[in-house]
Amino acid sequence: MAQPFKVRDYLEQVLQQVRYRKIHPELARELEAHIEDQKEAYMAEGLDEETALSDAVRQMGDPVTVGTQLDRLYRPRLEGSMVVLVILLLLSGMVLRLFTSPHVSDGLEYYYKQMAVTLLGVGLMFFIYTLDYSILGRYPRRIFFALGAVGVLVFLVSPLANGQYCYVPHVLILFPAAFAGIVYSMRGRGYGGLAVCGLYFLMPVILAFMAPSLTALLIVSFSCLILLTAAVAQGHFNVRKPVAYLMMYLPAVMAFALLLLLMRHRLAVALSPETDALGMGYQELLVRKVLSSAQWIGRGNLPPATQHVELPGISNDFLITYAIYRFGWIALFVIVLLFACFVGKAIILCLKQKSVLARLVSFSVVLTVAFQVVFYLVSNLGFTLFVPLTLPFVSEGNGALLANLCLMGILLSVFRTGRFMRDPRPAGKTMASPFIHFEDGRLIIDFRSRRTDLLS
Amino acid sequence: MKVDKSLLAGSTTLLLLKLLEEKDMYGYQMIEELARRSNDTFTLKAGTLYPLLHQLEQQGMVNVYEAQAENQRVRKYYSLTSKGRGLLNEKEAEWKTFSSAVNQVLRGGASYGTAF
Repeated sequence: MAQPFKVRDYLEQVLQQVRYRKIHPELARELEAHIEDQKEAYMAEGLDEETALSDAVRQMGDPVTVGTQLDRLYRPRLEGSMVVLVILLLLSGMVLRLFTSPHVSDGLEYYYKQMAVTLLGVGLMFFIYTLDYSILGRYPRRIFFALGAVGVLVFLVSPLANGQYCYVPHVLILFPAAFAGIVYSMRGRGYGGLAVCGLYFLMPVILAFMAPSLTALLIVSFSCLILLTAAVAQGHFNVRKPVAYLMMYLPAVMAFALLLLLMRHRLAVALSPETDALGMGYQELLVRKVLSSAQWIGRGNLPPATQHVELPGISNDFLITYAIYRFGWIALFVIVLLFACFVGKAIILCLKQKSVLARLVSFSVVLTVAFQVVFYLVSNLGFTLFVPLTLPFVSEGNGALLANLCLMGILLSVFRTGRFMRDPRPAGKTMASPFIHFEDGRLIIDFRSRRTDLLS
Repeated sequence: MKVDKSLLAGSTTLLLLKLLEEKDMYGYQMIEELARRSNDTFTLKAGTLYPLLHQLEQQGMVNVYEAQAENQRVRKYYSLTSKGRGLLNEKEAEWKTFSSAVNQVLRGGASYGTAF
């Protein structure tokens, strides 16, 4: 629509004050509609169009003042508390590994390397923070398949450790965030949409089986499943909830039961490691022995001969076990407290997000981090059925550190603008549904079906 | 009668929330309705209205959706959330205390300042 000069001039003056440009079209649309209504009211009172228009514009108030006030409301924000928590976690990891690394061969060399990678990762985190997270909702398929392609490529370059392509799990933990975009794009698509989500979910599952990484499989599965549950609970798919839950949990529970059945021997050993003390139960018994010697505060009292804790991988797989032994249970308390603050604060912020996409993406990241923490702590406390990935931001492992800082960047990017950004429309699709329609006895108003060409 | 604008400033939120309590409205409609009900005493400028509405939205007091208005145009409607309803009750109570206190003073202070 061609705008009369006066209106455009006014809108430009307002918008010049608002630094966050992506919100401009929406603001302009509302203000222009207002001027239009006011103009028509004046014309109904008998003014000619031109006078009515200039009076209507004058009636709006000072454009600079309005613009400045709006700018204050629509300013991107760096969520400082989350950054501080991540830095505290990174630092606690560095401090703990300073005690363990000298005991491991090449440990110190690796320690300094990880310091460099940490700096790199923090840079990456801030870079991703400045990007617009809404691309996850606009190009969900492309991003998901691109991540799948990265996963496949990583197989080619990843070294093998204990028969596992050890870089693949790090790519896998990025999947729930991409999955959030897929879930978002299936909004209102019913059971079909839910089924499509299930199909997409198979990609990380296959990659996890090929890696193979059972823990990554479970972390990704649990995260995606809970994310999907939350979406269904919020009415995202517009389906009957009990049926949807059945669709999701029946295969999930069956798969999980099958998994436990296949692992029944390992499960039995994990539950009572004494039965295979020199085989699979060895490590678990060692962890339990170390922990049983731990004090509340201060170094544990292992007999002098075993003083030197010989847990395999104290810097990566058993850092918290070591920390409990070396500094007392208080160390576990501090770490759990830090993660509880991290997850708690992130969930509070997540609930404050206005757009569905922002909620889904931030929730998926929180889940992925939280499950890594749970798996790590469970194994470090003496139940070693699943080999943990890493303790996010804390334990040794460069690939995992980079992947988690990537996730953190995505989280910060959501919190940067998600509290006021509206949902993007998935690209390349014209909306099939009309603006307002009835479905399942409910009134559906689809806000995305209107196009605006204002000021663009 | 023209009133001092600063008298209105503190209570604009209350008035806007009150309007939305009855039905969902778009911005222009709210200004018009406010003027009509107050016999043109409250003439709110759009420049005051929108930043305030957007702030209320970010605080979760109101929701926004687009729908067709009577004139067939698409307008951005605001509706009160349950949180907003809570704020409205609070602000109404606050206003009652305030206005009765002002009235009491204007009437010459029925119960204060007479002991001396």
